[in-house]
Amino acid sequence: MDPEPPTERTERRWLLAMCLLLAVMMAVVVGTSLAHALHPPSNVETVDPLRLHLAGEFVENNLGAEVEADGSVTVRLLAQQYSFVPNCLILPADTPIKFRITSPDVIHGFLLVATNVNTMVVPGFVAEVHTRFAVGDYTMPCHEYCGLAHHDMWARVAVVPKDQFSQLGSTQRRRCAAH
Amino acid sequence: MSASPDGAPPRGAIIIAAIAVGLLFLGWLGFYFLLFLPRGAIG
Repeated sequence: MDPEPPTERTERRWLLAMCLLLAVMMAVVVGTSLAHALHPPSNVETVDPLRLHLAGEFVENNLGAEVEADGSVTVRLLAQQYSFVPNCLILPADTPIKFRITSPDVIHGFLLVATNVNTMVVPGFVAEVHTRFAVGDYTMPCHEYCGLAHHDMWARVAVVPKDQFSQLGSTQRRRCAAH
Repeated sequence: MSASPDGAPPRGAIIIAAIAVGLLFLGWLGFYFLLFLPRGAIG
């Protein structure tokens, strides 16, 4: 039997090095995901898109930010052609935030620029995203083409210090100009 | 890959490929730790 040519040995070593590199990358992704509790939004929950405005969680006076008993904040939003309701939010910094979003019409996109918040909003389903913010202003454009005025569909999130947020009433939290 | 006439492995090609892959890997690490993770955890 012929001895192994040097080129085959080189290729085998190169393949081994690339497999090790992929293993390192995978370990980095898995390790940091576990350490930061990082994972894609994966909520599967159905809702009747024809009755959103009539009853249930997404009626108009229930939209916006709500402080829970444990101090976290739940934000309920509607994404509809061609706006988010409410189109302006004030949220506290360094606080667990849960977004619950749905759509009464077509598929929209939910994105907070300069953060990792990014999910689709599908009629008939409730998208849920958990995150927390640093102080700052964030824009929230629809990033899934939803019709002729898609480019006009965006909202604003103002993140303020916790103590400033706690002084605001529920109505004021919808007026970004007030902070 | 073809070997040189004396049967030695193509060291120049290996060095260039290693540098290219190393730079790509450093770029990936930079994007992941300096851009992606600082944008905040989601779940």
